[in-house]
Amino acid sequence: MFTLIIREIEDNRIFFIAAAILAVIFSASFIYEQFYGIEGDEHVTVPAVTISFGIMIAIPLTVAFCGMGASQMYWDKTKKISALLATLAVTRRHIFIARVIAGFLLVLIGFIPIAEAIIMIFSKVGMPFPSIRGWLSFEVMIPSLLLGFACYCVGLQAGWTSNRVTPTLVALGLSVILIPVILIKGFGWEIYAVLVLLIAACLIRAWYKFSTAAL
Amino acid sequence: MSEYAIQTENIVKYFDGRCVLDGINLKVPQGGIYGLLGRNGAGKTTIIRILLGLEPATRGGAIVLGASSWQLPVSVLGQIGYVAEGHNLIPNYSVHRIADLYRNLSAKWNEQFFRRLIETFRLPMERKVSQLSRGMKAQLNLSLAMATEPKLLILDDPTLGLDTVARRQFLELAVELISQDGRTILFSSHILSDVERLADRIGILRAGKLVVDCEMEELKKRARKLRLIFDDQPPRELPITDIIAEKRQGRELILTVANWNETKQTFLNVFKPASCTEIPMTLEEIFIECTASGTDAAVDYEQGEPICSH
Amino acid sequence: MNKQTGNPINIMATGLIVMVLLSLVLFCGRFFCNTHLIYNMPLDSSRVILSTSGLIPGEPAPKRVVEEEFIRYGHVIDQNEPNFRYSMVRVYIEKYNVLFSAIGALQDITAEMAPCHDVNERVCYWSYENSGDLCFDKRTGLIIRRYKLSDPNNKSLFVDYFAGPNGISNTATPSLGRFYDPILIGSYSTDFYDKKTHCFYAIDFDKREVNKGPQLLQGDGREPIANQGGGGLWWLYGVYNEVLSISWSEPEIFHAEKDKWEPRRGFLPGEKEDYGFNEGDWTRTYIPVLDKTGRIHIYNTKEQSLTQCGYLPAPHSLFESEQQNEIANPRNVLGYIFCPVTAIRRLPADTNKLPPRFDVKYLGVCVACVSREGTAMAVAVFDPNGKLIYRGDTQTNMVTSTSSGMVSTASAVYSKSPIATTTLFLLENLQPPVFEITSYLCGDCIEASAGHRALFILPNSFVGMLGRYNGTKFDKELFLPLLMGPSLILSIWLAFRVRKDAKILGLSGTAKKWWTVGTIAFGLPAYITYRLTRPKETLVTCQNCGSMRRPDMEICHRCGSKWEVPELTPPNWRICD
Repeated sequence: MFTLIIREIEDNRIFFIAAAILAVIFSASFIYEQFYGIEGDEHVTVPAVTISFGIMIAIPLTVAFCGMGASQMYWDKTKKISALLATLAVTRRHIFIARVIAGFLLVLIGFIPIAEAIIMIFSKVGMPFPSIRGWLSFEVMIPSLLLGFACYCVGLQAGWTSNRVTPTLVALGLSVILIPVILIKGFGWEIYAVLVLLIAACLIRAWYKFSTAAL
Repeated sequence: MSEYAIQTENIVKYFDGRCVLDGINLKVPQGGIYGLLGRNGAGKTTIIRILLGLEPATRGGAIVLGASSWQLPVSVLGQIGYVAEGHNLIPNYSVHRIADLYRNLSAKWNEQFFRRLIETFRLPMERKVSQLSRGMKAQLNLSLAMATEPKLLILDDPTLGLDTVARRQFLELAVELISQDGRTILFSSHILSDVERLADRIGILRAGKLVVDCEMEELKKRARKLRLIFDDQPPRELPITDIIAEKRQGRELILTVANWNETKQTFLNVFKPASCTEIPMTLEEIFIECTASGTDAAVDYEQGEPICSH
Repeated sequence: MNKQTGNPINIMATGLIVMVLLSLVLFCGRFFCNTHLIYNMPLDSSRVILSTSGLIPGEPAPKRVVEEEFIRYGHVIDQNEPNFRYSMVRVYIEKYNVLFSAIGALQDITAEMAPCHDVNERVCYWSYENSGDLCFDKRTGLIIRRYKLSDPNNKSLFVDYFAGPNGISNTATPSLGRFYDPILIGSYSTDFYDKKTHCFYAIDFDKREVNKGPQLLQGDGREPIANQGGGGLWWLYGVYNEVLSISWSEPEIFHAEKDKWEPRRGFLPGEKEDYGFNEGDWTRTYIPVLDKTGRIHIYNTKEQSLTQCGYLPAPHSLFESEQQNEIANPRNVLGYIFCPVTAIRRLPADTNKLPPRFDVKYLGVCVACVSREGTAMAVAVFDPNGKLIYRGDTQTNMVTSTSSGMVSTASAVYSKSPIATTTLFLLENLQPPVFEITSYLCGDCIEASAGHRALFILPNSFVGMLGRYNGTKFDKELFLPLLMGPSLILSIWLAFRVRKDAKILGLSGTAKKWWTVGTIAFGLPAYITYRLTRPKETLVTCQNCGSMRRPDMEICHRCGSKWEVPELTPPNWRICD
């Protein structure tokens, strides 16, 4: 399993590198603004530039997650990767699980630096009285992480085709449709319910498609 | 443990409404080499892919090493080696990386044997698969499959692209492999001389059916080609079953018959041919006779009209 | 591998994916239609201006202001008293915030920042902007007030005070007791109601005092709810989403010698001294609290009494646009706001060293509510005894071929934008019929602002509005099929197509039945799910009956014949063991 996961990461390293770079830039900007912020008052510092940057990259980042899911399935079908792997001592289940784990790791890489920056800031300014808590709390981070993973799972649906254009357009369309769900539902239990169910449904369908397809 | 490494039960396969396999019942005994033959598009690769669980059968199923082919467990997959037609390896991987992949994902791996094969074939480890010639890909594929020490080796046209020397090396390797107890090889090839040298059993596909499934020697015994010369015109209808093909030219009738036996000889003698000589056939000739399609009907060259198709 | 009926789990998973994605697309469409409808409401139809407020003794009864007059002068001028301005109430629907109700993320984040809220039991922080922060620590059960001070080097210092039912201290000690579920009942005040102990508390951090107020019995209908506190102005009380804004102007008199308008003081009946008139009560003597039935009570912190002083007036909806005196449930209005009015007089001080004392009289309250859909507003004014002295709604001038006159905005907003209304109606009808019926039956169960963010059950849809209709003008059960007509027609047509296709594909009787029923119930999402999950085998012609049959089935599902493959002509001979 570890070999399969490493293989997936190596094959899709461009996505991992891009996500890591974006996350590090965002986190560095956030930390810088907290300590040398616009307002100068640590109690009401507004990381305006970081938030603007975050909003700007949020959509491309989630589209990128969707793109990776589609890309994994598309290249598998085109290069017959699973056809090769399935003749070794691995089953389709192993291949699929490794693929999903790699996708989840990509989403984590996109979010962990940001979460660490937030923890660092909270440890400096102290809980429990942050002024802009709503933007920074884990109540925002975890739904965002789930949304990223949901976009990835939606991308898995789109990629199993030989046509290069179809997965690109479908992945783009589906992720653009999915992103507003977090704006609409906010950060409460509803978004957890919607996203967790959606992720489960996408994984079930992707697995069914992968397990019954000709490789 | 079943005596058969592979057993299929009435496999039917359709592609986009076109039937390719129409009820295949194949049995490959443990140990030995089974040669699966057929013309292009007969369904050889399809059967192999169904056996490996890469393709779902439309109807029917198969048992491979005791497990259902559609859900082969890891323990069974680890005992199977496969060389695909066209040598399907990941193009942008280097030889080294592919070897690492096989090494880490195989149940067994004989590093020494693999190194020996790589040296024998002189394959560059750092070169990408896409940059290898067709022959080198074939050699790499063979090396990888054999290094896993499989109990069941499935080869789909393995010598495609190999030069004569490399082909001979492969054949020797195959013999070396089969000499180990309990190993089974299923392979298909268009180079029938190789098949004739190696295979114990033969299967021939035609029109979606397995029309031949027996031992090599048995096949040669049962498929007979006879040249019959009659004093007058050869009889229009012969009361002999299992006629594979017949060709008439004047007083000469060349008859290819399956399941030749004494009874058929007796029936033939009724027509009192002036002479009856057997034309020995190689496997290639048997194959050609067996797989000639209905449009390749026997022609009466003197009359210029088709006589029969079987 | 049985592919005849497909994997049920895969079908349900696919259905869920289709439902979520389709719902999001439809939501965006509905949002754009609602944006168009709300924004097309003329300005005059999204506000109510009263002059006078009717709460100042000696002023005439409240009267709605004519728009042109207001626009011209910015204030109502009494021709008989040109140097005199009456008190005035202005209430507006904030259109942006009505639309922002659909953006849950924004609601959550502004709730986090707004003072005094209780959202989903998650939040326990309130904050003052200038004097420090206030919060409730669920772990210790204490209310914490943090004061921010500056040392001589201008460095910030924080001093915490911990308050429990038994007192206030600099340290969190068990001897202070604990609160369990406090809600703040006044903006910028520290008066609480503990929902578990049913008791009011007034905490004065400056005096280090905790005063226990009246205790209600369990089940007492007067129990306050949260959702109090608007942004910015501390004497206003409302839902945090700020869909309404209200302003009360005190009466003014023009001083010619100063050449400016100044607040006019006045006398109250039975009093000898004059009082100043104020919006709200900065002395925190009278605090209005709202209960879950929509009644407003005045909590007198000095007398520790709770008296009903008004209620939320129910706004109009599309199907109910007649004058009504119903009380609105806070969950059923998108926003509410109420502005108490008081008269305050400073009492002479005994000595210069004591803090000033004031005499405060409660004069009444102005209340406004916005309907669920955000298309109508109701305004009411109550006197100090809680008697209704004015009730009005947003209206607009409608001219049709048959009539003209003022019409409630609840219905006018749809009539004025027929294309957006029709598009909205059709988009709502693309929802599954089963969800539409649920919206009709259970629309009330979903809180108003949550209804704007609903994806599946739509309480603010036309069907939802019909479900809430309690009038007698028409029989709503007969009207329901009309509203759901397009949805039902679409579902039945799609179910017919699904059944036909399933028959061709040879699905079992049970599968056909489930798919037909499912498509009738779930409409378009079910049809899309069927198309995505139906068996993908290419059909071939049966040699026996000539119809199309599936090659993965052993026998023809029409005539029961076994297989023949005429295009393959294998030979008659075999050489087998």
